[in-house]
Amino acid sequence: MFEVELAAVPQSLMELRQELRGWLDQPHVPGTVVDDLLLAVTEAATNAIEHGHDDTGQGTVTVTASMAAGRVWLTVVDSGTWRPPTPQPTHHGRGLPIVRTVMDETEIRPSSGGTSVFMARSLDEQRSREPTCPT
Amino acid sequence: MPDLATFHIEHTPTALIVSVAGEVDLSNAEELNTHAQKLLAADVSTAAVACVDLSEVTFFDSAGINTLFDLNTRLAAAGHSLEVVAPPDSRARRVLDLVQFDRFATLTDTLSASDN
Repeated sequence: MFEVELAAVPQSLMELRQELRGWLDQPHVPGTVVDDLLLAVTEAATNAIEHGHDDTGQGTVTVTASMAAGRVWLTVVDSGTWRPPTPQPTHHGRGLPIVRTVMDETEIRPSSGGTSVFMARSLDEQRSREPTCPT
Repeated sequence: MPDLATFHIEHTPTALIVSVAGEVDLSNAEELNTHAQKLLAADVSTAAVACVDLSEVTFFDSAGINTLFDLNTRLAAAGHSLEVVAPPDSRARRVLDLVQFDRFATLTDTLSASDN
């Protein structure tokens, strides 16, 4: 089980990747899967930092991960006041399509206390996947 | 804290090249943008190619992608084209392929001989 709570600021993203990379450093986790997981978690946390933070500057992003049965589950939860969803989830709308493409499952649950992004990905680097994001 | 990425700009007879090494995310995408602007500010008309070399990039995501799309749009408006270098199997290439960047600008495996 992996859990880290970070300040909802862009400078936290590097620390998040360092921590998660360390946790994923296991012989049965292929390097390409690690790279995709680091990409997905950074995109989801970026979304939380850009859109989920509250106006006090005290917002946090909590990332948890677990591994079982050949899969990794990632959860990114922000503490901020949820703003109404917009048609473009990120500034240019490219972050979440990337997440959906590199992960097998992605679910976004907005709530009054913040937004949670749940993601799952097989450890099989040969798993079938769409080569590109929907555009 | 060490810089997440380093940037280097190089003028050759036929190209202006911004080389990036390290990780690019939301925390330093603006820094990439600042260096990319030099491709616009410089007299690109004397160079054949405006190039961003991502060969030494170890992390790249939509923050960097957005910067490249913006740069491509601005270069095109000025009548110039963008070439992005990202070797096959590199982290930058993975993300560039995901968003089909080659539909919008030139994407190459290595710096071409003519750039040097």
